[in-house]
Amino acid sequence: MNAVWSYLVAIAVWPGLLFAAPLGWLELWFMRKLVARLQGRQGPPFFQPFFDVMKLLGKETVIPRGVSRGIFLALPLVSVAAVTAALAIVPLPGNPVPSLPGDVVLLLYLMEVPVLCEVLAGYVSRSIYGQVAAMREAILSLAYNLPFLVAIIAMAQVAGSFQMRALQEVPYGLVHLLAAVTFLLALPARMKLNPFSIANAEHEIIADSHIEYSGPPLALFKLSHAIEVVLLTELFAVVFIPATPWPLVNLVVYLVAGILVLGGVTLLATTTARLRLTQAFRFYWVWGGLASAITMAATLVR
Amino acid sequence: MAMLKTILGNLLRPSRTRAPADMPVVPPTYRGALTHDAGRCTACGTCAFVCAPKAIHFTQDPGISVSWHFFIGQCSFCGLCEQNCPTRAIHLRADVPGSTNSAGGDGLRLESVIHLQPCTRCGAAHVPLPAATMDALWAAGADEAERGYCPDCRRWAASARLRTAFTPDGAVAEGGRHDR
Amino acid sequence: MPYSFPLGPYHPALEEPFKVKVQCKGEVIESATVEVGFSYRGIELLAQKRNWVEVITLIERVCGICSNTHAMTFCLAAETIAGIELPKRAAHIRTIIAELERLHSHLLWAGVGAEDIGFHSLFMEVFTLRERVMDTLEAISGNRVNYGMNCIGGVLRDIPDPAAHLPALDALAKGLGEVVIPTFTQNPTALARTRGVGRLSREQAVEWAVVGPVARASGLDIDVRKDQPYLSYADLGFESVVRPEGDVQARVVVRALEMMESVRLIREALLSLPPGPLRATQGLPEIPAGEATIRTEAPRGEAFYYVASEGGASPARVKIRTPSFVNIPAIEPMVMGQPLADLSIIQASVDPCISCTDR
Repeated sequence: MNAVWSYLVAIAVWPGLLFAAPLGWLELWFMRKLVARLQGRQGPPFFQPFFDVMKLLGKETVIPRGVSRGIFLALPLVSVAAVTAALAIVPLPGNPVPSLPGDVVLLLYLMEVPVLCEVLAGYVSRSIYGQVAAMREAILSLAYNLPFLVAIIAMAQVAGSFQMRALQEVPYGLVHLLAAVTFLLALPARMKLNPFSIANAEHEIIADSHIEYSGPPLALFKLSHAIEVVLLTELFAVVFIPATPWPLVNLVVYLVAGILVLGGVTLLATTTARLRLTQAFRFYWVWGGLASAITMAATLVR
Repeated sequence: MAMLKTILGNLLRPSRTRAPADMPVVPPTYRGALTHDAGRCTACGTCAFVCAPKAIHFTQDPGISVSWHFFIGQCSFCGLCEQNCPTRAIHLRADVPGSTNSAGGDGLRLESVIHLQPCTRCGAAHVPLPAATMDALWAAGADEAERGYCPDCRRWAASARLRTAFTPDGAVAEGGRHDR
Repeated sequence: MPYSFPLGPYHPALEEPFKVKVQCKGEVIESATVEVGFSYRGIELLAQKRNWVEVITLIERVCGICSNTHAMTFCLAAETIAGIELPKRAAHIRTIIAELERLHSHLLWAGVGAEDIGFHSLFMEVFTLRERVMDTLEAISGNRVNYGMNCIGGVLRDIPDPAAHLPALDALAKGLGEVVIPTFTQNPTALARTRGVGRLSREQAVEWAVVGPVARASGLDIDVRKDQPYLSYADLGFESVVRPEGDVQARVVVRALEMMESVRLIREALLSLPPGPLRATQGLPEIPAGEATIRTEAPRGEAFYYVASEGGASPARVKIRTPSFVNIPAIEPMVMGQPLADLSIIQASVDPCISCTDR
């Protein structure tokens, strides 16, 4: 009973939905504001990401003709559920969920679910734009997952365990640095930011894979993206930032680290054009592969 | 690198987004809302002739008035009416008008009534010439009475003036011919 | 599995409606067809029903971006028929407006091009610069888009204080030289999206009869300003910009260097503005029977006008051939075999003006 409650609290309250959604909106607002200021613009008001979701919630849901209603509506729900569950596993300070052996594997799987949902959303939409976006998303995930997975697996290799707590407690060393760089390499593509905003290139394929989505289902996809941003930044902080014995200090450090990471990828996004799919793929398999190889080598050499 | 320098510079500078109060300078050549001076208008129709979108037209109330009509919805603000008006009765204002709406019929349609005047000689209703034109044509001269004439009577008066003023060059020779 | 992918008539990459329908295999384009005619207005016919003064206002609305080119070319044609000699000052003012228009057209293009390769920051910088040009045009003509500067026989408005516009030109040259050109030619991601993309060889350029910057980027040195100088171009000394590569990068560079040349031309024209009347004739124009063909260099290439008069109040025929009309079909050979991702930047690289094309 106690364990069930702790899971429920973790998914619904902290670090789950209740805190992650506002945090995600805050981070999205920060990115948009920073982009705007870098481009010499005013930028959106603080509550804009929240307003966006609320506006979508009040709008009509249009389901394209010939699309299975069940899967069309289920995809955004699954996407939100998966990222929230993934976030609930991340051992942020105060997370009530007990650490499980092998939760890293679960986490990595859950993190792939939103991507899968997006790909499926594009394919079921019966829109050529959505289908091209889905294809791009799928191929891109093959590219960026190389450095992304290697960064986490290298840490697990060092820790000798596939348990999040163990990853967190690895003594700080060179592998941390190398793996962090490898992780950061994958981050812009995972967040669909420039120069890897290929699956959501509105000037090429009008929109991303949820082109046919509208109203509350689209709001759920947006919410899922917001939580994913929190998940990625906090995962980076938890795994690669050395922890202090004080949970509150840790929390502050993690949040600041998350914002800093976002600032970095935003800066990259504002100084670059969008690459082509083949170029992005080559980049990740050459430079991402190189970084992965070095990281893995470092775990062995240690 | 140029981009990085630029965007970091932007970060330090205030935003380029303009606030509603921070209006750009309106140039003196700005072509804004039309004004029409009925006192100067001679209802010659040049403005309606040069108006490509047909935003200007004239209506007549026979014997009483001629009305100049303007519909802002059709106007392309090219300014050709102002450029071509022979008496400068039309002017495109440089100050920017506030947004107009059709609620009170205000601003969207302009109507300017040019009252016809009876001719002081024959009584026919006609469009009077602008005061400035009249001053220039009959500069406090003996023909002050012609000010109120209609175009027909002006032609008559001109003709009469010519007749009285006519002194034939060959008056002597002609007389000689008569003599013969 | 091959699939067909429509770009347009409504698409974020397009400012105006036209359609490029491509057949793709994977991400590679195998064939393309271009469709135009979504905003046809029949201006050529309307022009026969308007008098000589109204036609200028009408012709100015052939295009929202190169509006002045059209009005100016039409006036040049009418002046040729009537045998009116343009006053020197009017020719200079027309040149200044034409080059300012080229600047704002090319800057608009650079912004759209930046946006099509996903470079939002560059778009913002380019459009800030464009704002300076628009402000200058507004200060001179009173309007930001349809300037209404031309009349048959001269110009309607003067530039009373030419030196007042020099600071804007300095800012423009600085922005172009320090931000826009280095970013387009040095930023690795921008280069990755433009170099070697959408190639049109010199032979293909001749075969498809492209004009303007597209032709000059494929090594064809054609520019009406140089080949058949009109207005004040002969006095100001004009240098055309030619690149042999024929890819999107070359088109970017040609336009960028043309902007620098435009800034120079405007500066010289402003500094050497001759005194004199603005108009050769007063009052409503009278055009005798006759016909004339005029070529001018619009921002997108050679604009061709044939105007015939039968001596009446309206022109008997106004034939307009706009540069986009001949450039747009060349999108087909450019996109063949290219990745789908490059479709938007390739179609944008010819700077298609649909309003011009459809008229």
